Amino acid sequence: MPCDSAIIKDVYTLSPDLKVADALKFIHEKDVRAMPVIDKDGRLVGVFSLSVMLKNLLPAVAKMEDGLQKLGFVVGASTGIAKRLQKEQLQTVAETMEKDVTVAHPSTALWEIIRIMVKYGSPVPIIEEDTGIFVGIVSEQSATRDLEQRIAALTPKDNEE
Amino acid sequence: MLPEETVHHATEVIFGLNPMIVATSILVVAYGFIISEKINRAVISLLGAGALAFTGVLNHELMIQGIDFNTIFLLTGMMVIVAITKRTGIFQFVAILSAKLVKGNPRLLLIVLSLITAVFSALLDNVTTVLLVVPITLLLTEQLKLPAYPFLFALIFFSNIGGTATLIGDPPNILIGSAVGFGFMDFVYNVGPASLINMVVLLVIFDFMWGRKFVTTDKAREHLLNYDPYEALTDTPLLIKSFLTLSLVLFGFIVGHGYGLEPGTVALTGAAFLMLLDIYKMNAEDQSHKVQEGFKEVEWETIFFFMGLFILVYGVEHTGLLEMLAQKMLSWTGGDMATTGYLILWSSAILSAIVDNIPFVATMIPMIKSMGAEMGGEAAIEPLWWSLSLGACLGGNGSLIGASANVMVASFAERAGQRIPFLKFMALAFPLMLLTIAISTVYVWFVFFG
Repeated sequence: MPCDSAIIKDVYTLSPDLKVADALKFIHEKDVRAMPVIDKDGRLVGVFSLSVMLKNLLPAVAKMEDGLQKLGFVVGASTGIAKRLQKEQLQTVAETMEKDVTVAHPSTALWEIIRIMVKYGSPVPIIEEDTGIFVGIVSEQSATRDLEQRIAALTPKDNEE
Repeated sequence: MLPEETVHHATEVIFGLNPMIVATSILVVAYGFIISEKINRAVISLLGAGALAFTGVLNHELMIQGIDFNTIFLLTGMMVIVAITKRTGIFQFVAILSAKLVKGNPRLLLIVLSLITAVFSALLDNVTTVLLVVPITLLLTEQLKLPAYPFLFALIFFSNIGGTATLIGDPPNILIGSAVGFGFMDFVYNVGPASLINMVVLLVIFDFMWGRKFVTTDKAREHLLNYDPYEALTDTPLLIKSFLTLSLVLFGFIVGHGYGLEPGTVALTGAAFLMLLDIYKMNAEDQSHKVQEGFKEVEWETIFFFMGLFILVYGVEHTGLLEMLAQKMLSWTGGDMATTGYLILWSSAILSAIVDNIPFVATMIPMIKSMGAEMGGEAAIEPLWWSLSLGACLGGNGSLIGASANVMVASFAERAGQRIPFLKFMALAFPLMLLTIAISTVYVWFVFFG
């Protein structure tokens, strides 16, 4: 069962040259957590998300697997963190976005999309296999909705199987 | 003339080849690969050990006889204890507490972090110590807006110097202690003072070069003073259990030696005791999970490297090569104890800076042992062991690849965006390492040879 029916094609996207401050404004306005970043040829170049941006605020030693496991001892650092965000706001989306993104294609099986979402998080960007052109996304909501529609379409014969 | 055992084995070796030549060739090829770092050292040492068996130089019994299980047990036991202890957050706690005690003064911070590293390295292993001290050091330097390089440099030096002071602090000492039968306090008494003198000298140098020039802001210091070290502790009950076990193990090292208890037995029993405390009252599944977690942290690559290496060295020892080389060395030094000691100290220091000091020490041990007969017996050659220990452990400071701890710090720092350039490090580290060896030369002259 391919995932094409679960793809949301009408999604908000960002340009890699946009400043982080503007991208944040856009994200708040549209009330989403992540947006695909598309170049002028329509190819996916990364994903800009609130979680990646927050991750960028952490000291390098707290992001590493064998680094600091706790930061609770850093008391009263809110102003310092805000200053880090202030600095990040001046960067471009291309500098801060997640570039190593797990993608899928319209022909990818829904099982595989669910596996990717469980392992790497939602949404999963969908690109054309041969051109890399961005097609849309499959999110947890769209995948669930697609499956619910399939339940509604089940026949008595299907239920017997 | 070849030793008797060699003649006996000549008939068993493949194609009737000379066993000494076969064993030496295998060792040279294996060491070549180990030094070039083209293939993993554990794989090479095991393949070399296998080659000794397949060519008939050693049989199964001799291979087992060649492995120093005391060293293997000591390494494995301490690795398990450290793996469990590090989950408690004690390293971060001590570092943050010390930073607060010196009120964020960067000059004093360099000194306390160096000393903490030295103490932990002496009581645990260097690699774990630096892996746990480096992350918090980078955070503290970032907070105080200080350059990280001087701190990383000092941590490398103090991990190796601290490790020199005890039986368990550095792998060369573990090898020497196990082969000769030295106890924990033998190292503390004989190489501890040299280690201490070197630390004082280096602290003065580091302070002159870097410490006195450090500048930070009052605001940055104020932020650091807000840190709550107790928040860094992740598991206080486990901390108490770990502290109890480490104290018992240390007590076992010190007292057990007099009762014939090997350090390997003490460490492995200590590891089992700590695991027992850790899994007490858990169900079978959770117990199994916890114990597996502890064993998973053992650096099996190092353990198997040591096993292969012991067999490789035993091959050349058994066929008489090392005895021959020892005689050669004695003929160069005229059998003079002091000259032999200085030769061992300097050659092991320079070689340890360039290549892995573990294979070097493993080869030197049987060589020095065989010098005993000609130099007045086992007790008389004791200063040679201390020369080897000081040379091999302190020599590791000479380059970024001189010791495993250096490699670990460099790799972590690079991933954290604080690259330590190889040549920049060596340009300062090598002369400083030579200085520590010069100090150690004066020390061994004054204490043993003078």
